[in-house]
Amino acid sequence: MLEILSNPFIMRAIIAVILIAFVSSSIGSLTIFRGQSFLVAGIAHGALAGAALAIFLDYYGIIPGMNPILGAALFGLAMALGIGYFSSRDSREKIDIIIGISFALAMSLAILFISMIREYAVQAWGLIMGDLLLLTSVDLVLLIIISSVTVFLVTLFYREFVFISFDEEGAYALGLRVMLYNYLLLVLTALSVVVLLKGVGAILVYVMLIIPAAAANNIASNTSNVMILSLVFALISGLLGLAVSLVLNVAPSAIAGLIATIIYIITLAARRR
Amino acid sequence: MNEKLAVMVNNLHVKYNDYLALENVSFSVPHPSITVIMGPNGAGKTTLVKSILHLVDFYKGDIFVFGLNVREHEKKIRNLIGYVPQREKVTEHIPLRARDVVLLAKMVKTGPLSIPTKRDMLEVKDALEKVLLPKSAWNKRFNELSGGQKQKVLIARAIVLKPKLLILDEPFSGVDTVSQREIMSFLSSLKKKGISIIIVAHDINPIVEHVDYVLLLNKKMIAFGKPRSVLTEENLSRAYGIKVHVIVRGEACYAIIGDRHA
Ligand SMILES: Nc1ncnc2c1ncn2[C@@H]1O[C@H](COP(=O)(O)OP(=O)(O)OP(=O)(O)O)[C@@H](O)[C@H]1O
Ligand SMILES: [Mg+2]
Repeated sequence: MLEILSNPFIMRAIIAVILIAFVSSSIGSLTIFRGQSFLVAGIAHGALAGAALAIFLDYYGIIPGMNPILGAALFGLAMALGIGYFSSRDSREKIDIIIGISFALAMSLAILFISMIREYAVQAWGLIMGDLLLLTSVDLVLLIIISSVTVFLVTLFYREFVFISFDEEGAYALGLRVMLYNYLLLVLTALSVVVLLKGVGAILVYVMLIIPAAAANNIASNTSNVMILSLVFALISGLLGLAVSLVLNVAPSAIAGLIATIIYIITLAARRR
Repeated sequence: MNEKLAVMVNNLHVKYNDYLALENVSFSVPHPSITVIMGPNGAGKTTLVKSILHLVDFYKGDIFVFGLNVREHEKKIRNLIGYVPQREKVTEHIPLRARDVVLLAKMVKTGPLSIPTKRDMLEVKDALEKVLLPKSAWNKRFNELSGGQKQKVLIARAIVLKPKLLILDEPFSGVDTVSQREIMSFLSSLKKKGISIIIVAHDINPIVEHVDYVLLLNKKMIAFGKPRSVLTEENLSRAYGIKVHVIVRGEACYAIIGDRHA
């Protein structure tokens, strides 16, 4: 047991899982409240395209040493802000279409760039699948910074965010600076998605960010309980996923995703009763 | 500030892109008073009340709330007005309890990181009691309340901030007649305490005895004034585009209109 914990890769993975659980509880819950969970998947694919482009620019010596995470952050932010801009002026139905289209665009770009960097495609695959056990200290520091900023700001403006999600028009009428809060949340969501990319991968970011909060929302009696329960669910899925993966030697994020989904189904059944 | 004049609208024109939603609307209501805005679907009722809050931009005309130009004093007038939006605009899937909804408004107004004081809690309790929400509903999730109870919670959320003008957009849609009368007599008591009230409504009959002014709207202003003078067959037929019968019985008059919200 102690032997396992003294392994720096495993130690980093455990810390990452705990940080991800906090991000999931804050950003995930608010995203569920806003009814914009699809946004997270959209940003994840945008980030993937950005990372692939960065690797491509580096590979062909156009911008040597370009960091994939920087590319991911730029594309993820652009996507989030773009969607935010359109959603502030168009109707709900149109936003779904806008997210859908940007999703398709991001995915096409990602595949295009990946196909152009054949030899380095492995690096891009790492971002699609993610690997909790391959995190470097730099990755971890980035995760620590982004998750603490996120948790801090969400705690600070928690009531404003919830009020706006509940009744945006009422929030305007109350004199709240709704646009400012909306963009702040979009930026935090984009940054969270990007730092999660390396650990859990573009495909499973959605699962790790959204499913614990969605499960919590099924059974919680008030908003604070959603936050607490989603933290618990994310911790259970993450840590259990890590443990199982060490024993069976499979990808931890995949197991974590499975466990989160099972929890979701259980909460769904619990709510039905 | 002008304490005598709750709202004054001059020559208001509102456009959405190229669509002219309101044309040349002018009226004013003294303070305190109760005004009802009526008109068919799409008449621009919501647009008018949102203009008063400066939530939509109008390209022509002026609006004053207690003498303050809403364009120049947006923040101030929003602090003076309590707004109860059309209930369908409110999200249902967030697990907020009835009392949370009211407390949230109170705390958002107080500012980030403030912790609810005993006094805040008392004011929330007071607001929920005033709107006659049964105690058993206070800890229920908002989406589990009946239509009338939801409406009461939203009114409590508005009055907990102690507005001088209360604007309600279709507070009576999907609310049974008994609850309508209950809410209306409560609103009437607010007027006595010096709060002006503007209500968007489709059916004025159950509440007409409490109403000081009626504004009949269909893109243009069809009529404005005391209920008796506005609610004529001619005016109503012009607003709704169908034949309307009015029955006058003593001081009250009843308009029989086909249109009613589901
Ligand atoms: N944001 C918007 N963009 C474009 N057109 C709008 C917008 N809001 C309202 N409209 C249009 O303006 C007109 C007036 O709408 P409004 O919501 O003010 O009507 P209403 O009288 O409140 O109707 P209802 O009884 O259905 O609530 C309608 O034709 C509507 O389609
Ligand atoms: Mg309306």
